Amino acid sequence: MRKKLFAILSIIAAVFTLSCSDTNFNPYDTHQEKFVMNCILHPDSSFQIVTLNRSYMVNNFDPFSSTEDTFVKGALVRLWNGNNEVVVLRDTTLTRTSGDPYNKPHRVYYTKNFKPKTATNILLEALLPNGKRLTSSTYMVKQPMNIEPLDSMRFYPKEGLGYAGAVWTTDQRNAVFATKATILYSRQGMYGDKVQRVSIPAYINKVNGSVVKYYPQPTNLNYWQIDSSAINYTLRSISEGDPAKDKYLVYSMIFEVSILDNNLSLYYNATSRGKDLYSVVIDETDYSCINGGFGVFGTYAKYSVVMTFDQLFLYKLGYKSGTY
Amino acid sequence: MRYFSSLLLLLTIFLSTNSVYSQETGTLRGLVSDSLSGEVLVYASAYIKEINKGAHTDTRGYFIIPSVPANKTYTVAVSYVGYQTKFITVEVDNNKLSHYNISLSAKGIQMQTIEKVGDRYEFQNDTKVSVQRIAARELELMPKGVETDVFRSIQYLPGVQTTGDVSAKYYVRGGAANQNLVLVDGVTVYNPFHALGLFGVIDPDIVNNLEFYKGGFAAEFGGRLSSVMSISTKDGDKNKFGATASSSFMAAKLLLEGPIPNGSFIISGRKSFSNKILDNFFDENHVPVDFYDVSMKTNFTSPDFIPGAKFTVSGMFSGDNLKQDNPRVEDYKWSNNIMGIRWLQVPDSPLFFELAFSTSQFKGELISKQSGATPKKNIVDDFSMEMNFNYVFDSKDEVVSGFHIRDITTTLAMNNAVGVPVEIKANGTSVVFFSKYKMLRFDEVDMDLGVRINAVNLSRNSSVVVMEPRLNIKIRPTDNFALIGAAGVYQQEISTVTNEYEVINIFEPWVISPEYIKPQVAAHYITGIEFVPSEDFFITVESYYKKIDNFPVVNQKKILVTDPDFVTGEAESYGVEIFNKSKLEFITLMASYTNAYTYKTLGGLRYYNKYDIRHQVNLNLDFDLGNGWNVGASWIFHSGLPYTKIIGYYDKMYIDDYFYQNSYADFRQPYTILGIDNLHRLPEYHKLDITLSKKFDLSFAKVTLDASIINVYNRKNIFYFKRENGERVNMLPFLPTATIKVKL
Repeated sequence: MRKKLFAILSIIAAVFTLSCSDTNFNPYDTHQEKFVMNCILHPDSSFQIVTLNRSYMVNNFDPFSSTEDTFVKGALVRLWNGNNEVVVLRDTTLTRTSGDPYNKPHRVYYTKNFKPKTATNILLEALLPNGKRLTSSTYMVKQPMNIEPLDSMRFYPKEGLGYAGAVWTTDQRNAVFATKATILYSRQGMYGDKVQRVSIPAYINKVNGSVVKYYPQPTNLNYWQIDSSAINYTLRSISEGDPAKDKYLVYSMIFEVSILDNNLSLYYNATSRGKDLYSVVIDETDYSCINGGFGVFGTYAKYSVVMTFDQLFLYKLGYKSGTY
Repeated sequence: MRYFSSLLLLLTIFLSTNSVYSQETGTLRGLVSDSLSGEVLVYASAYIKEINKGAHTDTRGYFIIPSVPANKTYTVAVSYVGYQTKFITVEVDNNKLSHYNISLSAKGIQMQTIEKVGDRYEFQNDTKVSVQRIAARELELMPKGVETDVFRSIQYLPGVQTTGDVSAKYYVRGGAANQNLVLVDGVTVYNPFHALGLFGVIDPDIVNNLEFYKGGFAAEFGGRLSSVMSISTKDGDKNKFGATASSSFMAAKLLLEGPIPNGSFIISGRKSFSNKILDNFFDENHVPVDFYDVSMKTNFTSPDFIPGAKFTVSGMFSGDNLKQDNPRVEDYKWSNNIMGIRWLQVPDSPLFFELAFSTSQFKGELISKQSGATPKKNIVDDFSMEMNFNYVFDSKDEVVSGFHIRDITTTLAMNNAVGVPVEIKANGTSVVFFSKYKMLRFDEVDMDLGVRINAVNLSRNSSVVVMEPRLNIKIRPTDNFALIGAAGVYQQEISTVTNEYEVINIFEPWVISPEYIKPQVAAHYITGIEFVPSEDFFITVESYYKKIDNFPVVNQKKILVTDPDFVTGEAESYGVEIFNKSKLEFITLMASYTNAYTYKTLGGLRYYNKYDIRHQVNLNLDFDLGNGWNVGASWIFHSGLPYTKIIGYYDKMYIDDYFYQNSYADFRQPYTILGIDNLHRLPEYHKLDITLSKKFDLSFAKVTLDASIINVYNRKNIFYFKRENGERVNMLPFLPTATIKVKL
């Protein structure tokens, strides 16, 4: 027995001796500088911005810890509307929203004089100080989208339906739509009697006793509906804590739908893959329409449909019906 | 066609010469079983000393020794691992088949005794190449993790790679995980894993024997490119009722078995009761695994019904449920439901005939709830009919022929990339004829020549008739040395949608190869040597080359709904494996070394596969200390797995609100820029696991206690690094576990 135990211990000790080294592991390679340009042209504004940044590197496993200003200064950034209209963008600093994990300067190029035209080829070009050129183009087809209330609902609520929504048609293939629903209201004696907007969540859910609101995500579907519970919750919440319900005028509910152009649709598809908790993914699809770098350049068109509220329904909530 | 004609001609010549051996001789057939339970003993050996002839039992427990000089009495030595060798006197009549039922007595709690006689005849009468056989008793000696697992047991073999402690998923000689066929009593199991792949659904206590082919498998196996694991389950105790209860830190198990009129039954059920220990596997994330599995089999044999017939009905049902209380975290469940009925006919001639019907269903579903994960559902329905026979000629040559008819429907329901629900349903029927001629007539050369003919294919993008020729050859210049070789063509028409960049895959749906890609086809070429210098020492050296065409991979560049889900590439792997099994007094050693290379070519670019392991060393030591004490130790070392380095970050824009003028300027997150795929190597991996076992008898029961330690020296093996920030996640730390088994 002793002989056997000695043999076992000897072999284990030998394995230990061979094995007790720890490992140093560095997943970082030499930084290879890349450039990123982003621009989403807003169709109903002449104020447009372009972000132009370079890649960066950290060695502490926390990319948020980087305070390096990655803005590319001194670039010549231009936008073309067709072949004729060209504007040169200037640089400025934007203030970040609260809660943003970044702690670094944020500068962009901007113009106040560029409104994208439909049915034109819109070009974006950035000539960097190092001579590198980033380019992209997009084309917004002039095809108005036909949008209607779901189930021809002009007044909310409609008897027998527990939802409201919109349905639309378009000829653009693989289009992605962004949706938003808001309620317009005013409160006499507050906000200068001005009309206020409140967003309606796509749906609500109670988690551990508190209400969690889920806002709509872009979709490929050609319709969108909101459950009545979310609409009614939003209606009640505009006067929450205010006993003077009769001072509220509720005007309408607006369903807005933005159709993203091809570049933005592809970009959205590539960045919005639903992930589950358990799968561990070590890479993900990247998409860029920027020649010579990363990022996206695109635009969208916005459409809306208005729905009014049934007066009796508002009355039961203590509100008055208004006209806007 | 010319090839096929030549094959037929060759067969005709061999068949015509078989009668030469059929004069003044008879055939000896035996069915070898355990004396207590009646369970058949697979690969037991039988040896007739007087004429220096022998054979080993097949997976049904039968051996056949043909051309035994007739009208004489012989002494047959029958032996098996862990059993007392039995010497029986037999009489062989001219031109007749003499059948004997032979029962062997186990040597009790002294488990590790390898009989020498059988090994030699396995060496001399076997054409199989790259095969590993593991009997039920050997499974008990394998190092145990959280649960004893047949899949973990093969990971110690050369040529079998894994990418982590967390998954029992395995890669064989550079093939993908979905290229491994798992058969339980001949029925395909599509997802044989519990708990996100931690261990297998097949209860080791119900396994009679396991054959694992790493390549070069013969014509009776098909449908997968890389490996075949063929598991035969136990029939159940034919003599008395018994119950075995066991428990680990995670699951409890009960097995019942016993005789029924003209047969026996066995049923085993396992259910998880705690998943605390699993938190160690998932980086301290709590994973609420809840699983069960039930395996059952019953058999019926009656000379009054059909003489020589044996009917078995078997089933295996497993289910996993990951149910999260939090509505923002998705649920996942999957299940296997398998049933089979088999008729084995053993007439009074050296012929075996089998007819089987089976159904195998896999269901997997990801229920997204409010998590934002994409809901998915996959169903595989497989209905099969199989008929085969094998006949042993007087010359010892064998012919094995048959056909498989299989109807498979795969359904994949999910929301596509832009949220539209889609259902991809495919149905196909395959009709495959196979035939092989096993030439064992010469002392120096054994050969297995066969062909698999896919007359009707599952995939619509396949030739009308696909031929898969197979050849195995073994040349023995001396009694203890053999040169081996194998070559073959293999086709696979069903595959999983596997994202190679997922180190843990929760959802790997099976789909029939879509019409726009051709079924994947592999060619295997294997050469090597087997050397048995003494009865306690066995060594094999094998080299292999495997080439796979139309290798499907998930299209990482899919952006549009209309983009294909798969793109195809080529894969290539080659390597050398050395395997040694030796016994020195009370120590049994299994040692192996693998040197392997695995590549894939996609879009004209050649990469290392994620499971490309250049060097791997496995050491398995078993110490039989006597008095029921046993110590098992296994040490694995392999060089680093490929990975892709980070070459920088950029602030990627994630668009949250298309209605807010400057929203895109703010909603950004660091995005990792990766270098060239799999160009660098993770640090080397090594780990020592130890199991201490004690078997003892109580007045009413036999008890087995196992205490195991996984990763004894707490090696910090890297599992992966997080793509978003480069932080490393390690594999299993030092982890003690224990199991208890009580057999009444």
